Parts: sequence; C-alpha cells; structure tokens
Amino acid sequence: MAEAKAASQKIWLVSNDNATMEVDRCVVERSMLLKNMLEDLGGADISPENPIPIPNVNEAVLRKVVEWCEHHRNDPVTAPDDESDARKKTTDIEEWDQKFMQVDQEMLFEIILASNFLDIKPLLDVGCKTVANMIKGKSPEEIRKTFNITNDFSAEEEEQIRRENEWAEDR
Amino acid sequence: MPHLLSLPVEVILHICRQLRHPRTLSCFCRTSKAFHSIATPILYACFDNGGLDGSPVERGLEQSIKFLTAISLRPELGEFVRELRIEGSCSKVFDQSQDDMFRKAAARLGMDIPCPSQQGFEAMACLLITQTPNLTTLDVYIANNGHDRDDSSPFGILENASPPVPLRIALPHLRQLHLGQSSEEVSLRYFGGILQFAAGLTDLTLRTSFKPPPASVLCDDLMHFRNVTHLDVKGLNWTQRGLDFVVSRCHALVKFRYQSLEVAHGIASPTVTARELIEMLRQHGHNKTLRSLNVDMKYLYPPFICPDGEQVPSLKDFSRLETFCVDGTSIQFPAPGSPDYRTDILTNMLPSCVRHFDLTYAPNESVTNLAYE
Repeated sequence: MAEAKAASQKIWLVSNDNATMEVDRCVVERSMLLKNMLEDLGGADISPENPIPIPNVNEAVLRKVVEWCEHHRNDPVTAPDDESDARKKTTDIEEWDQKFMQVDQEMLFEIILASNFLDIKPLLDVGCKTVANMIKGKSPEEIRKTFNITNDFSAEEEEQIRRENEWAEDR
Repeated sequence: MPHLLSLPVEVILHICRQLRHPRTLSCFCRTSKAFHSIATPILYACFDNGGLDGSPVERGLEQSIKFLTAISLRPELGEFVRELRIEGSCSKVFDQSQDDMFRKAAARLGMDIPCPSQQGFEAMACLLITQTPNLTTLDVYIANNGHDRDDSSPFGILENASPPVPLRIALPHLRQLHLGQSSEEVSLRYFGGILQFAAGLTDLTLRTSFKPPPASVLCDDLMHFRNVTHLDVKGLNWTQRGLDFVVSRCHALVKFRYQSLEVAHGIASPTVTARELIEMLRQHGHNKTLRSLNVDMKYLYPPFICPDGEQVPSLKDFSRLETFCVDGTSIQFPAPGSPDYRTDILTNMLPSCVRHFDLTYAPNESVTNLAYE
C-alpha cells in the first residue's frame, strides 16, 4: 500500500531553461541518480514551487527523456550482475525505441548525454546502439561524412593504420 | 551543438563495444586520431580467427599471421588483448608469403623458430600467446595434431627455441581456458606449454577427450589446476584414468559438467559411467564443495541404458549441491509391475539442499518418482 502510494506520488523536475514538469515518482525513478536522491532525501519537500533542478538538460530533451521513462515505467529493473550480460547480448533495438530514436543527430546526442548524466542505463544503451547502427557497414570516409568528423590523418598515417589492422579488414 | 567527439570517453567506448565486428571497428579507428586512440583497445581486446567454424581454415591462418605481425610490430597492441580464440589445423602447411611473415614476426620477437612448416600452427599459437600477456580468456582448438608427443609439448616449443623466452611468458590474468584437439591419442601434456603458465586458472573447459599422461611424465609442476572451481569436460573417449587425472588436480570444484557425445549404436561403447564419475568426485572431496553438477552421458541407444550397477548412487553427502542435471538413462528406474518397483528413488538419491533438478531424456518409469518428489 505504502509502495503503491510512493509510486503514484508526484515529483516535479525543472529543466535548465526553467520549464517545470510533473512526473510520477516511479517514472522519475528510472533514473538511478534521481532514485538514489529521492531515497536519501525523501520526496516530501518536492513541489511545483520547489522542483528538482536538472541543470544539464533543456526542456525539449527532458520531455523526450520523460517520454521514454513513461513508456518503460513497468520494465523490470536489471540486477547489476545480469546487466552487463543482458546489455552485451543484443544490438537489436525494439520497435518503439527505434521510432523514439528517429530524431536529428543533435537530439540523439543530447538524449545520450542526458541519460548518461541521469544514469538511465537502458536509455543510454538504446542511444549508443543507435549510433553504432549508423556506423556499421560504412567506410571511414562515409562515417566522417555522417558525423561531420574532420580527418586529421595524413594519407600515409591512414594507410599505415589500414595495414596494421589488415587482419580485421579481411573479416 | 553536441558532436560525436564531444561525448564523454566512456560513452564513446560504450558505442565502440556495440560495434563488435572487427572490420567496423577498424573503419571507425581510421576516421580520426581521437577515435583511433579510443577504439583501438576495443578492436584489439578480442581476436577470434574463426579458423574452423566461422571461416575456411585458410582465412583463419592468414588472419592469425596478420594479427601476429601487427602485435609483433607494436607490442603495446598485444597488451590490449583479453580474449584469444585460435582454431586451426596442423595439416595446413604455410605458403611462402605466410612463412616469410611468420619468420619475420618471430625474428622481431627475438626467436629463431626452425621450421614453421612443421608444427607451424602450434608455433604460431605460441607466439600469439607470448605477445598477449593480459589474456583473461584463451580458447585453443587444434585439428589434425597427429601423434602423441608425451615427452615434450609442442606448446613448449618456445622454451626449446630460445632460452630467454620463458621469462617473457606469463599469463597472470588468465582465468578461463578452453582446450581441444582432434586426436584420441593425445594427453593434456600436449598443452603443457600453456598450462604451466596458467597458475590463476579458475575455469577449465576440455572440449575433447584427452588420454592420461603416462606415469613416467612428471606433470605436477606443469598442470596448474588447483584453483580451478569450474570444470567442464566433453568428449566420448575419456577413460576413468583420464578423468581422474584432471579431477584429482582440482582442489575444490564448485561447478562440474560432463557431457559425452552421442553414441551411435554398435559404433562405440561409453568408457565411463555416471556412477563412476560421481564416485570419483566424492573420492577427491568435491562432494563438500560442489554447488552445481551436470552429468549427461547421452546413453540414448540400447544396450547402454542403465546396465546393472551403473545407476547414479546417492548424492546425500553432496552437502552444498544446489543444482543437479542428469540424463534419465543414467538412473535406474524399475518399471511399474516389476518386483523391485519403487517410487522413492529420487527422494533417496538427492540431498535436501538441491533447489534445481533437471532430468533430461526422462524414461516413462521416472514419472511416478518425479511426482513423488
């Protein structure tokens, strides 16, 4: 009973551009950073007038992150031991997450940064897998073009690395 | 505006781990100096030549030699390697360019390997191992390794080739070792050159049968099994002596699995029974430490089903056993209506600490016993 009450408790977050949003506590607790903070401090003092500041995240990004947490509010929490295995096993991204990640590169990197800061590992995984999928199957030049990377190798240096890693190129 | 390079290094590392495929990682390494320095340790963390399963033997050999060339030219790359999986065949003779590359790599390492065309694949495996001192997992499978060489291990080839080399060989971080080979006549002495440097080994998988080394060969100093807690043994031709050689050298097993291979009727007979195996574990004191025991004899074909005296004995004194998996044909369940029919066989066999019991190929007669449980 007490747990159910805590889960439906409202928490208020404020982005770095001063947008306040109301979120269920169980949704907020997808973030390990906020979960630990609420467990340490309790949540009773949090109100629309006294929201939790999220200093590194703007409103648009925070809304996206909250949207993801809402959708995944009932996902089982992965035990630390299982985590690495489960996360390693697949590069597949479920359909809803794939659609969720169909955003421009700026928003994609903002979501990754926010999930890293807020310690939401499953969202960080989805973000990193999305970037990895954008790299797969591309030549170095195509990767540079996709991510606007400046080539700071000389032609000789690049050729030397290609030769050094020739064992991998053949695979 | 955030950019891929503006992400924290730990996040870029996480992205690199998702890339998995060596070619993809290699392409990413070549995009810029910053990504090269971040992704190279991930690229070199694991080398798998896929020599027999994933790709033709020829390509596996070629890749292994190229990998050896890379880590002999820049030894710091070899220090990134944590997992090494090498499979290959000794019947493959190096061609001229492979021979040249191999000799150059060996020479850079200060070694004069006399003739790579003989024991060439084994010699290459040795060189790879010497250049990867931070290995945690090593998987070696050698096919067509031919006759037994119990007096010396081909994996000790480096000791004979150049005296200073053994000083450079050390595998202090090696925890998981998987070994296999294709000859029925070979003992574990064959891999002695690896085993003598693996003092911290905790997980040992023997993917194929090995015969016991002859009594004349001193093995105690070469076989560092005492810290092994997880032992996984597969193969059809294990003898009781061969298994006893391994099991007796482990001091306190926590997890043990034995998997025979399927025996086709009339082709071969099993060389060790479930009862003998369990008695052997008890004799060496592993009944006090084992938490998980998996015995799959695959007695699928008559006449091997439960000859008299081969049923699993009581496990009551396996005082920490939590998981027990066994094939149903290893347990003698008398048929209903027979004079010795009983329903308490499992109750009498299993200790009270067992939490998970898995009976595969369960015969019909076992049903009432399972229900009784």
